[in-house]
Amino acid sequence: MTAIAVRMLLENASRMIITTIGIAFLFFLTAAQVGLLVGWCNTCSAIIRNADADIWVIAQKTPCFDYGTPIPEHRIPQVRSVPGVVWAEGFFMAWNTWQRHDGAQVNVEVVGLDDHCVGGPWNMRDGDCDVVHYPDAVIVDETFLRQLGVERLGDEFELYGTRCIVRGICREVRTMTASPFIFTSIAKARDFDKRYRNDQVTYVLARCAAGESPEEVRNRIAAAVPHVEALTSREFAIRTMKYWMLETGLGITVVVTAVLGFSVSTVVVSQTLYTITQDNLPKYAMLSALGFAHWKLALAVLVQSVTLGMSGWAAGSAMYDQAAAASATTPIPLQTTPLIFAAITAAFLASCVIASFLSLKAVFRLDPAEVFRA
Amino acid sequence: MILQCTNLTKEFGSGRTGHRALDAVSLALERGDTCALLGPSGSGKTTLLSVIGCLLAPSEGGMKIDGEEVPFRRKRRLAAIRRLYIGFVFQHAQLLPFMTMIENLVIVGENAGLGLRQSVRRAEELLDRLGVADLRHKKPAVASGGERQRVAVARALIHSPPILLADEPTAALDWENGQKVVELLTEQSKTENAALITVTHDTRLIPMFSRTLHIDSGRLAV
Repeated sequence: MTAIAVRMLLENASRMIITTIGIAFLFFLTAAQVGLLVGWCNTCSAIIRNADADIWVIAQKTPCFDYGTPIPEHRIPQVRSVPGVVWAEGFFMAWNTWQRHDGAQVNVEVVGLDDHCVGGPWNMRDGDCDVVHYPDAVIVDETFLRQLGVERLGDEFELYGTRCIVRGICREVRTMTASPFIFTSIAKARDFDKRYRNDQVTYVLARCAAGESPEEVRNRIAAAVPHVEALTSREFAIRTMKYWMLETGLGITVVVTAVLGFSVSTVVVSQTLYTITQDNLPKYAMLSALGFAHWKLALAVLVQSVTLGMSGWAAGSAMYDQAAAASATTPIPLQTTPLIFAAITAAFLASCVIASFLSLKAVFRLDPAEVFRA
Repeated sequence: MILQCTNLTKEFGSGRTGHRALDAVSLALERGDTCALLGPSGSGKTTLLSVIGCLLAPSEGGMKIDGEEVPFRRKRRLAAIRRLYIGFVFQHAQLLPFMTMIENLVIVGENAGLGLRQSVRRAEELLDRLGVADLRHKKPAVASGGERQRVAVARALIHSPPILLADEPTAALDWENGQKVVELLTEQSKTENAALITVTHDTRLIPMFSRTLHIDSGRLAV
Protein backbone atom coordinates (compact mmCIF):
# COMPACT_ATOMS: atom_id res chain seq x y z
CA MET A 1 0.00 0.00 0.00
CA THR A 2 2.94 2.33 0.71
CA ALA A 3 4.17 1.94 -2.86
CA ILE A 4 0.73 2.67 -4.27
CA ALA A 5 0.38 5.73 -2.05
CA VAL A 6 3.76 7.19 -2.96
CA ARG A 7 3.34 6.49 -6.67
CA MET A 8 -0.12 8.02 -6.57
CA LEU A 9 1.56 11.16 -5.24
CA LEU A 10 4.31 11.07 -7.83
CA GLU A 11 1.76 10.62 -10.62
CA ASN A 12 1.46 14.38 -10.68
CA ALA A 13 5.11 15.27 -10.13
CA SER A 14 4.74 19.00 -10.68
CA ARG A 15 2.02 19.23 -8.03
CA MET A 16 4.18 17.19 -5.66
CA ILE A 17 7.20 19.46 -6.24
CA ILE A 18 5.20 22.67 -5.78
CA THR A 19 3.62 21.31 -2.61
CA THR A 20 6.99 20.15 -1.29
CA ILE A 21 8.48 23.58 -1.90
CA GLY A 22 5.53 25.21 -0.13
CA ILE A 23 5.83 22.88 2.85
CA ALA A 24 9.61 23.35 2.90
CA PHE A 25 9.20 27.11 3.18
CA LEU A 26 6.63 26.69 5.93
CA PHE A 27 8.89 24.32 7.87
CA PHE A 28 11.75 26.73 7.36
CA LEU A 29 9.60 29.60 8.60
CA THR A 30 8.64 27.65 11.71
CA ALA A 31 12.16 26.36 12.39
CA ALA A 32 13.64 29.81 11.75
CA GLN A 33 11.25 31.43 14.21
CA VAL A 34 12.08 28.87 16.86
CA GLY A 35 15.78 29.19 15.93
CA LEU A 36 15.49 32.93 16.37
CA LEU A 37 13.89 32.41 19.77
CA VAL A 38 16.62 29.99 20.86
CA GLY A 39 19.29 32.30 19.42
CA TRP A 40 17.88 35.27 21.32
CA CYS A 41 17.59 33.28 24.54
CA ASN A 42 21.20 32.16 24.15
CA THR A 43 22.42 35.61 23.22
CA CYS A 44 20.65 37.55 25.96
CA SER A 45 22.02 35.24 28.63
CA ALA A 46 25.40 34.49 27.04
CA ILE A 47 27.55 36.50 29.47
CA ILE A 48 25.76 35.01 32.48
CA ARG A 49 26.16 31.46 31.19
CA ASN A 50 29.83 31.95 30.21
CA ALA A 51 30.94 33.94 33.27
CA ASP A 52 32.16 30.93 35.22
CA ALA A 53 30.39 32.25 38.33
CA ASP A 54 27.85 30.31 40.37
CA ILE A 55 26.05 33.26 41.89
CA TRP A 56 25.13 36.77 40.74
CA VAL A 57 24.45 39.36 43.39
CA ILE A 58 22.26 42.10 41.95
CA ALA A 59 20.32 45.18 43.04
CA GLN A 60 16.79 44.38 44.14
CA LYS A 61 14.21 44.20 41.35
CA THR A 62 16.81 44.10 38.59
CA PRO A 63 14.72 42.99 35.58
CA CYS A 64 17.53 41.55 33.47
CA PHE A 65 21.25 41.57 32.82
CA ASP A 66 21.13 44.55 30.48
CA TYR A 67 19.30 46.85 32.92
CA GLY A 68 21.31 46.55 36.11
CA THR A 69 21.16 49.09 38.93
CA PRO A 70 24.41 50.10 40.67
CA ILE A 71 25.21 48.66 44.08
CA PRO A 72 27.99 49.73 46.46
CA GLU A 73 31.39 48.26 45.73
CA HIS A 74 31.75 47.14 49.34
CA ARG A 75 29.20 44.42 48.61
CA ILE A 76 32.14 42.55 47.05
CA PRO A 77 34.01 41.90 50.34
CA GLN A 78 30.67 41.27 52.07
CA VAL A 79 29.86 38.51 49.57
CA ARG A 80 33.42 37.22 49.77
CA SER A 81 33.06 36.83 53.55
CA VAL A 82 30.00 34.54 53.29
CA PRO A 83 30.86 30.91 54.14
CA GLY A 84 31.02 28.74 51.05
CA VAL A 85 32.19 31.54 48.73
CA VAL A 86 35.62 30.92 47.20
CA TRP A 87 35.93 34.23 45.45
CA ALA A 88 33.81 37.22 44.50
CA GLU A 89 34.47 39.90 41.89
CA GLY A 90 32.75 43.04 40.78
CA PHE A 91 31.14 43.54 37.39
CA PHE A 92 29.99 46.79 35.86
CA MET A 93 27.37 47.28 33.15
CA ALA A 94 26.12 50.58 31.74
CA TRP A 95 24.77 51.99 28.52
CA ASN A 96 26.99 54.44 26.70
CA THR A 97 27.49 56.19 23.36
CA TRP A 98 30.33 55.27 21.02
CA GLN A 99 31.51 58.10 18.84
CA ARG A 100 32.66 57.03 15.39
CA HIS A 101 35.22 58.94 13.32
CA ASP A 102 32.57 59.91 10.81
CA GLY A 103 30.53 61.59 13.55
CA ALA A 104 27.92 58.86 13.84
CA GLN A 105 27.05 57.64 17.31
CA VAL A 106 26.33 54.06 18.30
CA ASN A 107 24.57 52.95 21.47
CA VAL A 108 26.74 50.38 23.27
CA GLU A 109 26.70 48.35 26.47
CA VAL A 110 29.94 48.98 28.35
CA VAL A 111 31.01 46.07 30.52
CA GLY A 112 33.59 46.76 33.22
CA LEU A 113 35.63 43.75 34.37
CA ASP A 114 37.36 43.24 37.70
CA ASP A 115 40.92 41.98 38.32
CA HIS A 116 40.40 38.45 36.99
CA CYS A 117 38.11 39.44 34.14
CA VAL A 118 35.23 37.25 35.35
CA GLY A 119 32.30 37.70 32.95
CA GLY A 120 34.63 38.89 30.20
CA PRO A 121 34.68 37.70 26.58
CA TRP A 122 35.17 33.93 26.39
CA ASN A 123 36.21 33.74 22.77
CA MET A 124 39.05 36.06 21.74
CA ARG A 125 40.06 36.59 18.12
CA ASP A 126 42.82 39.15 18.68
CA GLY A 127 44.55 39.91 21.95
CA ASP A 128 43.81 38.66 25.44
CA CYS A 129 41.04 39.41 27.87
CA ASP A 130 43.54 40.96 30.31
CA VAL A 131 44.18 43.87 27.92
CA VAL A 132 41.17 45.59 29.51
CA HIS A 133 43.52 46.59 32.32
CA TYR A 134 45.77 48.55 29.92
CA PRO A 135 45.19 52.30 29.93
CA ASP A 136 42.04 53.29 28.00
CA ALA A 137 41.79 49.77 26.52
CA VAL A 138 38.57 48.24 25.24
CA ILE A 139 37.65 44.96 23.58
CA VAL A 140 35.00 44.90 20.85
CA ASP A 141 33.32 42.01 19.05
CA GLU A 142 34.13 41.24 15.42
CA THR A 143 30.41 41.09 14.56
CA PHE A 144 30.12 44.82 15.17
CA LEU A 145 33.43 46.09 13.76
CA ARG A 146 31.77 47.80 10.81
CA GLN A 147 28.97 49.21 12.97
CA LEU A 148 31.55 50.67 15.36
CA GLY A 149 33.85 51.85 12.56
CA VAL A 150 36.78 49.77 13.87
CA GLU A 151 39.35 48.82 11.24
CA ARG A 152 42.22 47.44 13.27
CA LEU A 153 43.67 47.06 16.77
CA GLY A 154 44.92 50.36 18.08
CA ASP A 155 42.07 52.42 16.59
CA GLU A 156 40.98 55.20 18.93
CA PHE A 157 37.40 56.28 19.64
CA GLU A 158 35.45 58.14 22.28
CA LEU A 159 32.82 57.06 24.81
CA TYR A 160 30.92 60.11 26.10
CA GLY A 161 33.92 62.16 25.11
CA THR A 162 36.47 59.94 26.88
CA ARG A 163 39.18 58.34 24.78
CA CYS A 164 39.39 54.58 24.35
CA ILE A 165 41.71 52.35 22.33
CA VAL A 166 40.69 49.04 20.75
CA ARG A 167 43.19 46.54 22.22
CA GLY A 168 41.34 43.29 21.62
CA ILE A 169 38.69 41.74 19.37
CA CYS A 170 36.44 38.94 20.54
CA ARG A 171 34.23 36.60 18.56
CA GLU A 172 30.48 35.91 18.81
CA VAL A 173 30.06 37.74 22.11
CA ARG A 174 26.84 39.45 21.13
CA THR A 175 23.98 41.27 22.78
CA MET A 176 20.41 40.79 21.72
CA THR A 177 19.78 44.53 22.00
CA ALA A 178 21.75 45.19 18.81
CA SER A 179 23.97 47.48 20.90
CA PRO A 180 27.48 46.00 20.91
CA PHE A 181 29.30 45.05 24.11
CA ILE A 182 32.40 47.11 24.84
CA PHE A 183 34.60 45.37 27.43
CA THR A 184 36.94 47.37 29.61
CA SER A 185 38.03 47.53 33.27
CA ILE A 186 35.58 48.52 36.00
CA ALA A 187 37.52 51.70 36.71
CA LYS A 188 37.57 52.73 33.07
CA ALA A 189 33.89 51.84 32.61
CA ARG A 190 32.98 54.20 35.47
CA ASP A 191 35.31 56.77 33.97
CA PHE A 192 33.43 56.58 30.66
CA ASP A 193 30.14 57.39 32.37
CA LYS A 194 30.11 60.18 34.88
CA ARG A 195 26.68 59.23 36.20
CA TYR A 196 28.28 56.50 38.30
CA ARG A 197 30.37 56.99 41.42
CA ASN A 198 33.78 55.45 41.81
CA ASP A 199 32.54 53.10 44.51
CA GLN A 200 29.75 51.49 42.48
CA VAL A 201 29.50 48.23 40.58
CA THR A 202 26.47 46.66 38.94
CA TYR A 203 26.88 43.05 39.96
CA VAL A 204 28.98 40.90 42.25
CA LEU A 205 29.88 37.53 40.84
CA ALA A 206 30.74 34.71 43.22
CA ARG A 207 32.04 31.19 42.96
CA CYS A 208 31.04 28.50 45.48
CA ALA A 209 33.50 26.18 47.15
CA ALA A 210 33.68 22.63 45.84
CA GLY A 211 30.83 20.55 47.24
CA GLU A 212 28.74 23.59 48.17
CA SER A 213 25.30 23.87 46.70
CA PRO A 214 24.85 27.18 44.82
CA GLU A 215 21.28 27.41 46.16
CA GLU A 216 22.47 27.16 49.77
CA VAL A 217 25.27 29.68 49.28
CA ARG A 218 22.81 31.96 47.50
CA ASN A 219 20.53 31.83 50.57
CA ARG A 220 23.46 32.59 52.87
CA ILE A 221 24.43 35.62 50.76
CA ALA A 222 20.85 36.86 50.69
CA ALA A 223 20.73 36.60 54.46
CA ALA A 224 24.13 38.19 55.06
CA VAL A 225 24.23 41.00 52.50
CA PRO A 226 21.56 43.72 52.77
CA HIS A 227 19.56 45.40 49.99
CA VAL A 228 20.53 42.95 47.27
CA GLU A 229 19.17 39.87 45.61
CA ALA A 230 21.34 36.78 45.17
CA LEU A 231 20.54 34.47 42.25
CA THR A 232 22.25 31.43 40.89
CA SER A 233 23.58 31.89 37.36
CA ARG A 234 20.77 29.72 36.06
CA GLU A 235 18.15 31.82 37.82
CA PHE A 236 19.59 35.08 36.55
CA ALA A 237 19.85 33.70 33.00
CA ILE A 238 16.18 32.63 33.15
CA ARG A 239 15.10 36.00 34.56
CA THR A 240 16.91 37.76 31.73
CA MET A 241 15.41 35.47 29.09
CA LYS A 242 11.92 35.92 30.58
CA TYR A 243 12.33 39.67 30.54
CA TRP A 244 13.28 39.87 26.90
CA MET A 245 10.96 37.13 25.66
CA LEU A 246 7.86 37.83 27.71
CA GLU A 247 7.93 41.33 29.12
CA THR A 248 9.06 43.01 25.91
CA GLY A 249 6.72 40.88 23.78
CA LEU A 250 9.60 39.80 21.52
CA GLY A 251 9.24 36.12 22.33
CA ILE A 252 5.48 36.16 21.95
CA THR A 253 5.80 37.64 18.46
CA VAL A 254 8.21 34.89 17.51
CA VAL A 255 6.04 32.16 19.02
CA VAL A 256 2.96 33.50 17.25
CA THR A 257 4.82 33.46 13.93
CA ALA A 258 6.02 29.88 14.60
CA VAL A 259 2.47 28.78 15.41
CA LEU A 260 1.27 30.51 12.24
CA GLY A 261 3.90 28.55 10.29
CA PHE A 262 2.56 25.31 11.75
CA SER A 263 -1.04 26.28 11.07
CA VAL A 264 -0.48 27.40 7.50
CA SER A 265 1.52 24.25 6.75
CA THR A 266 -1.32 22.15 8.19
CA VAL A 267 -3.80 23.94 5.93
CA VAL A 268 -1.57 23.62 2.85
CA VAL A 269 -0.95 19.89 3.42
CA SER A 270 -4.63 19.36 4.18
CA GLN A 271 -5.70 21.17 1.02
CA THR A 272 -3.21 19.37 -1.19
CA LEU A 273 -4.00 15.97 0.26
CA TYR A 274 -7.72 16.58 -0.08
CA THR A 275 -7.29 17.53 -3.73
CA ILE A 276 -5.13 14.47 -4.37
CA THR A 277 -7.64 12.22 -2.57
CA GLN A 278 -10.60 13.71 -4.46
CA ASP A 279 -8.74 13.27 -7.75
CA ASN A 280 -8.06 9.66 -6.86
CA LEU A 281 -11.44 8.71 -5.40
CA PRO A 282 -12.32 6.56 -8.46
CA LYS A 283 -9.06 4.67 -7.93
CA TYR A 284 -9.80 4.23 -4.23
CA ALA A 285 -13.32 3.04 -5.15
CA MET A 286 -11.82 0.56 -7.58
CA LEU A 287 -9.38 -0.71 -4.95
CA SER A 288 -12.20 -0.95 -2.43
CA ALA A 289 -14.29 -2.92 -4.92
CA LEU A 290 -11.35 -5.27 -5.42
CA GLY A 291 -11.38 -6.03 -1.71
CA PHE A 292 -8.87 -3.56 -0.28
CA ALA A 293 -9.99 -2.82 3.26
CA HIS A 294 -10.80 0.79 4.14
CA TRP A 295 -7.98 0.89 6.68
CA LYS A 296 -5.52 0.09 3.91
CA LEU A 297 -6.85 2.96 1.83
CA ALA A 298 -6.68 5.22 4.88
CA LEU A 299 -3.10 4.06 5.37
CA ALA A 300 -2.35 5.21 1.82
CA VAL A 301 -3.65 8.70 2.66
CA LEU A 302 -1.56 8.77 5.84
CA VAL A 303 1.53 7.62 3.94
CA GLN A 304 0.93 10.42 1.44
CA SER A 305 0.62 13.02 4.17
CA VAL A 306 3.78 11.82 5.90
CA THR A 307 5.62 11.63 2.54
CA LEU A 308 4.64 15.20 1.74
CA GLY A 309 5.60 16.27 5.25
CA MET A 310 8.94 14.45 5.17
CA SER A 311 9.91 15.77 1.75
CA GLY A 312 8.99 19.30 2.85
CA TRP A 313 10.85 18.75 6.10
CA ALA A 314 14.00 17.55 4.30
CA ALA A 315 14.06 20.55 1.97
CA GLY A 316 13.12 22.93 4.80
CA SER A 317 15.86 21.51 7.06
CA ALA A 318 18.44 22.04 4.34
CA MET A 319 17.27 25.64 4.00
CA TYR A 320 17.44 26.07 7.78
CA ASP A 321 20.99 24.68 7.91
CA GLN A 322 22.10 27.17 5.29
CA ALA A 323 20.38 30.05 7.06
CA ALA A 324 21.80 29.02 10.45
CA ALA A 325 25.32 28.86 9.00
CA ALA A 326 24.88 32.24 7.31
CA SER A 327 23.54 33.85 10.50
CA ALA A 328 26.16 32.37 12.84
CA THR A 329 28.30 35.52 12.84
CA THR A 330 25.48 38.03 12.70
CA PRO A 331 23.86 39.81 15.66
CA ILE A 332 20.76 37.60 15.25
CA PRO A 333 21.93 33.98 14.99
CA LEU A 334 19.52 31.12 14.28
CA GLN A 335 20.31 28.48 16.88
CA THR A 336 18.75 25.23 17.98
CA THR A 337 19.45 22.07 19.95
CA PRO A 338 18.93 18.47 18.75
CA LEU A 339 16.03 18.11 21.19
CA ILE A 340 14.28 21.30 20.06
CA PHE A 341 14.78 20.44 16.39
CA ALA A 342 13.42 16.93 16.98
CA ALA A 343 10.41 18.43 18.75
CA ILE A 344 9.73 20.84 15.86
CA THR A 345 10.05 17.96 13.40
CA ALA A 346 7.68 15.77 15.40
CA ALA A 347 5.14 18.59 15.77
CA PHE A 348 5.43 19.36 12.07
CA LEU A 349 4.86 15.74 11.00
CA ALA A 350 2.00 15.49 13.48
CA SER A 351 0.42 18.56 11.87
CA CYS A 352 0.75 16.82 8.48
CA VAL A 353 -1.02 13.74 9.86
CA ILE A 354 -3.75 15.96 11.35
CA ALA A 355 -4.01 17.57 7.93
CA SER A 356 -5.03 14.22 6.44
CA PHE A 357 -8.26 14.20 8.51
CA LEU A 358 -10.54 15.50 5.74
CA SER A 359 -9.04 13.12 3.20
CA LEU A 360 -9.44 10.18 5.58
CA LYS A 361 -13.05 11.15 6.05
CA ALA A 362 -13.55 11.08 2.28
CA VAL A 363 -11.97 7.63 2.06
CA PHE A 364 -14.02 6.21 4.92
CA ARG A 365 -17.22 7.52 3.31
CA LEU A 366 -16.26 5.93 0.00
CA ASP A 367 -18.93 3.82 -1.68
CA PRO A 368 -17.20 1.00 -3.55
CA ALA A 369 -20.22 0.79 -5.89
CA GLU A 370 -18.93 4.14 -7.26
CA VAL A 371 -16.65 2.01 -9.37
CA PHE A 372 -19.55 1.26 -11.74
CA ARG A 373 -20.29 4.94 -12.14
CA ALA A 374 -16.70 5.87 -13.02
CA MET B 1 -23.66 -24.15 -6.01
CA ILE B 2 -21.34 -21.21 -5.85
CA LEU B 3 -23.92 -18.40 -5.88
CA GLN B 4 -27.49 -18.40 -4.70
CA CYS B 5 -29.59 -15.23 -4.59
CA THR B 6 -33.04 -15.36 -3.01
CA ASN B 7 -35.60 -12.60 -3.50
CA LEU B 8 -33.03 -9.86 -3.77
CA THR B 9 -34.78 -6.53 -3.62
CA LYS B 10 -33.14 -3.14 -3.68
CA GLU B 11 -34.97 0.12 -3.17
CA PHE B 12 -33.45 3.57 -3.45
CA GLY B 13 -35.23 6.32 -1.51
CA SER B 14 -38.72 5.97 -0.11
CA GLY B 15 -42.26 7.19 -0.63
CA ARG B 16 -43.09 9.03 -3.85
CA THR B 17 -39.45 9.48 -4.79
CA GLY B 18 -38.61 5.86 -4.01
CA HIS B 19 -37.40 3.57 -6.75
CA ARG B 20 -37.24 -0.21 -6.73
CA ALA B 21 -34.15 -1.13 -8.73
CA LEU B 22 -34.34 -4.89 -7.99
CA ASP B 23 -37.57 -6.71 -7.41
CA ALA B 24 -37.33 -10.15 -5.78
CA VAL B 25 -34.51 -11.43 -7.94
CA SER B 26 -33.64 -15.08 -7.38
CA LEU B 27 -30.74 -16.67 -9.13
CA ALA B 28 -28.44 -19.68 -8.76
CA LEU B 29 -25.12 -20.22 -10.48
CA GLU B 30 -22.75 -23.19 -10.56
CA ARG B 31 -19.01 -22.98 -11.07
CA GLY B 32 -18.27 -22.83 -14.80
CA ASP B 33 -21.60 -21.18 -15.67
CA THR B 34 -21.21 -18.26 -18.03
CA CYS B 35 -24.10 -15.80 -18.09
CA ALA B 36 -24.88 -12.80 -20.20
CA LEU B 37 -26.98 -10.27 -18.30
CA LEU B 38 -29.04 -8.19 -20.69
CA GLY B 39 -31.53 -5.43 -20.23
CA PRO B 40 -32.34 -1.87 -21.22
CA SER B 41 -30.76 1.12 -19.51
CA GLY B 42 -32.05 1.55 -15.96
CA SER B 43 -33.36 -1.99 -15.80
CA GLY B 44 -31.22 -2.88 -12.76
CA LYS B 45 -28.25 -4.66 -14.37
CA THR B 46 -25.58 -2.70 -12.55
CA THR B 47 -27.52 -2.79 -9.29
CA LEU B 48 -27.76 -6.58 -9.49
CA LEU B 49 -24.05 -6.79 -10.28
CA SER B 50 -23.27 -4.49 -7.34
CA VAL B 51 -25.31 -6.61 -4.93
CA ILE B 52 -23.82 -9.88 -6.21
CA GLY B 53 -20.37 -8.24 -6.00
CA CYS B 54 -21.04 -7.38 -2.33
CA LEU B 55 -20.68 -3.68 -3.10
CA LEU B 56 -24.28 -2.86 -2.27
CA ALA B 57 -26.55 -4.28 0.40
CA PRO B 58 -30.02 -5.41 -0.73
CA SER B 59 -33.09 -3.95 0.98
CA GLU B 60 -34.57 -7.42 1.26
CA GLY B 61 -33.58 -10.96 0.41
CA GLY B 62 -30.38 -12.85 0.92
CA MET B 63 -27.42 -14.29 -0.89
CA LYS B 64 -25.15 -17.23 -0.32
CA ILE B 65 -21.67 -17.63 -1.73
CA ASP B 66 -20.25 -21.12 -1.64
CA GLY B 67 -23.05 -22.08 0.77
CA GLU B 68 -22.39 -19.25 3.24
CA GLU B 69 -24.80 -16.42 3.88
CA VAL B 70 -23.33 -13.03 2.96
CA PRO B 71 -23.48 -10.67 6.00
CA PHE B 72 -24.31 -7.47 4.13
CA ARG B 73 -24.23 -5.34 7.27
CA ARG B 74 -20.63 -6.19 8.07
CA LYS B 75 -18.55 -4.01 5.79
CA ARG B 76 -15.22 -5.55 6.75
CA ARG B 77 -16.50 -9.03 6.00
CA LEU B 78 -17.87 -7.81 2.66
CA ALA B 79 -14.41 -6.50 1.71
CA ALA B 80 -12.95 -9.89 2.63
CA ILE B 81 -15.55 -11.71 0.50
CA ARG B 82 -14.76 -9.46 -2.48
CA ARG B 83 -11.06 -10.04 -1.89
CA LEU B 84 -11.36 -13.83 -1.86
CA TYR B 85 -14.44 -14.81 -3.87
CA ILE B 86 -15.00 -12.19 -6.53
CA GLY B 87 -13.12 -10.96 -9.56
CA PHE B 88 -14.26 -7.77 -11.26
CA VAL B 89 -13.80 -6.58 -14.83
CA PHE B 90 -14.95 -3.00 -15.26
CA GLN B 91 -16.15 -1.13 -18.29
CA HIS B 92 -12.95 0.88 -18.72
CA ALA B 93 -10.44 -1.63 -17.32
CA GLN B 94 -9.61 0.83 -14.51
CA LEU B 95 -5.97 -0.11 -14.16
CA LEU B 96 -3.85 2.09 -11.93
CA PRO B 97 -2.09 4.35 -14.45
CA PHE B 98 1.04 4.85 -12.36
CA MET B 99 1.81 1.13 -12.07
CA THR B 100 2.96 -1.34 -14.69
CA MET B 101 0.61 -4.05 -15.93
CA ILE B 102 2.23 -6.73 -13.78
CA GLU B 103 2.19 -4.49 -10.72
CA ASN B 104 -1.53 -3.90 -11.27
CA LEU B 105 -2.02 -7.64 -10.98
CA VAL B 106 0.45 -8.30 -8.18
CA ILE B 107 -1.09 -5.78 -5.73
CA VAL B 108 -4.43 -7.55 -6.07
CA GLY B 109 -2.80 -10.96 -5.63
CA GLU B 110 -0.92 -9.80 -2.55
CA ASN B 111 -4.06 -8.22 -1.12
CA ALA B 112 -5.79 -11.59 -1.50
CA GLY B 113 -2.98 -13.19 0.51
CA LEU B 114 -1.00 -14.85 -2.29
CA GLY B 115 2.41 -13.50 -1.31
CA LEU B 116 4.76 -11.63 -3.60
CA ARG B 117 6.44 -14.55 -5.38
CA GLN B 118 3.25 -16.45 -5.97
CA SER B 119 1.50 -13.30 -7.17
CA VAL B 120 4.27 -12.53 -9.65
CA ARG B 121 4.29 -16.13 -10.93
CA ARG B 122 0.53 -16.17 -11.32
CA ALA B 123 0.49 -12.69 -12.94
CA GLU B 124 3.10 -13.73 -15.50
CA GLU B 125 1.21 -16.91 -16.27
CA LEU B 126 -2.07 -15.03 -16.78
CA LEU B 127 -0.55 -12.25 -18.88
CA ASP B 128 1.06 -14.92 -21.02
CA ARG B 129 -2.18 -16.87 -21.32
CA LEU B 130 -4.11 -13.74 -22.31
CA GLY B 131 -1.52 -12.74 -24.91
CA VAL B 132 -0.25 -9.57 -23.26
CA ALA B 133 2.98 -10.89 -21.76
CA ASP B 134 5.06 -8.34 -23.66
CA LEU B 135 3.19 -5.53 -21.87
CA ARG B 136 4.03 -6.72 -18.37
CA HIS B 137 6.46 -3.90 -17.62
CA LYS B 138 4.57 -1.25 -19.52
CA LYS B 139 2.12 1.22 -18.05
CA PRO B 140 -1.55 1.18 -19.10
CA ALA B 141 -1.22 4.44 -21.05
CA VAL B 142 0.88 2.78 -23.77
CA ALA B 143 -1.55 -0.11 -24.33
CA SER B 144 -4.65 -0.16 -26.53
CA GLY B 145 -8.15 -0.43 -25.09
CA GLY B 146 -8.34 -4.14 -25.96
CA GLU B 147 -4.95 -4.84 -24.36
CA ARG B 148 -5.92 -2.97 -21.20
CA GLN B 149 -9.15 -4.95 -20.97
CA ARG B 150 -7.19 -8.23 -21.31
CA VAL B 151 -4.96 -7.14 -18.45
CA ALA B 152 -8.11 -6.30 -16.48
CA VAL B 153 -9.34 -9.84 -17.10
CA ALA B 154 -6.01 -11.16 -15.84
CA ARG B 155 -6.34 -8.97 -12.75
CA ALA B 156 -9.82 -10.35 -12.10
CA LEU B 157 -8.42 -13.89 -12.27
CA ILE B 158 -5.20 -13.50 -10.32
CA HIS B 159 -6.60 -14.70 -6.99
CA SER B 160 -8.61 -17.52 -8.66
CA PRO B 161 -12.02 -16.26 -7.56
CA PRO B 162 -15.00 -18.58 -7.98
CA ILE B 163 -17.17 -15.71 -9.23
CA LEU B 164 -16.31 -13.33 -12.06
CA LEU B 165 -18.37 -10.21 -12.63
CA ALA B 166 -17.89 -8.10 -15.75
CA ASP B 167 -19.68 -4.79 -16.23
CA GLU B 168 -19.99 -4.09 -19.95
CA PRO B 169 -16.37 -5.04 -20.63
CA THR B 170 -16.83 -4.51 -24.37
CA ALA B 171 -18.54 -1.11 -24.21
CA ALA B 172 -15.37 0.85 -24.89
CA LEU B 173 -14.04 -1.55 -27.52
CA ASP B 174 -14.73 -2.13 -31.21
CA TRP B 175 -16.61 -5.29 -32.18
CA GLU B 176 -13.50 -7.35 -32.97
CA ASN B 177 -11.71 -6.52 -29.74
CA GLY B 178 -14.91 -6.80 -27.73
CA GLN B 179 -15.52 -10.27 -29.11
CA LYS B 180 -11.97 -11.32 -28.23
CA VAL B 181 -12.33 -10.07 -24.68
CA VAL B 182 -15.61 -11.95 -24.16
CA GLU B 183 -14.05 -15.07 -25.67
CA LEU B 184 -11.21 -14.79 -23.23
CA LEU B 185 -13.57 -14.19 -20.32
CA THR B 186 -15.71 -17.24 -21.07
CA GLU B 187 -12.66 -19.40 -21.81
CA GLN B 188 -10.88 -18.36 -18.65
CA SER B 189 -13.95 -18.77 -16.46
CA LYS B 190 -14.15 -22.35 -17.70
CA THR B 191 -10.42 -22.89 -17.28
CA GLU B 192 -10.55 -21.47 -13.77
CA ASN B 193 -13.89 -23.12 -13.03
CA ALA B 194 -15.49 -19.81 -12.08
CA ALA B 195 -19.05 -18.60 -12.55
CA LEU B 196 -19.21 -15.60 -14.87
CA ILE B 197 -21.85 -12.88 -15.13
CA THR B 198 -21.26 -10.36 -17.89
CA VAL B 199 -23.46 -7.30 -18.32
CA THR B 200 -23.76 -6.45 -21.99
CA HIS B 201 -25.96 -4.58 -24.39
CA ASP B 202 -24.59 -6.42 -27.40
CA THR B 203 -26.91 -9.29 -28.34
CA ARG B 204 -24.37 -10.56 -30.87
CA LEU B 205 -22.32 -11.86 -27.96
CA ILE B 206 -25.11 -14.03 -26.54
CA PRO B 207 -24.08 -17.26 -28.30
CA MET B 208 -20.76 -17.16 -26.46
CA PHE B 209 -22.44 -17.67 -23.04
CA SER B 210 -24.01 -20.80 -21.60
CA ARG B 211 -26.90 -18.84 -20.08
CA THR B 212 -28.70 -15.59 -20.76
CA LEU B 213 -30.39 -13.54 -18.05
CA HIS B 214 -32.83 -10.77 -19.00
CA ILE B 215 -33.66 -8.07 -16.51
CA ASP B 216 -36.30 -5.40 -16.90
CA SER B 217 -37.65 -3.00 -14.27
CA GLY B 218 -35.69 -4.90 -11.67
CA ARG B 219 -37.27 -8.26 -12.45
CA LEU B 220 -35.26 -11.14 -13.76
CA ALA B 221 -36.56 -13.34 -16.53
CA VAL B 222 -34.30 -16.38 -16.99
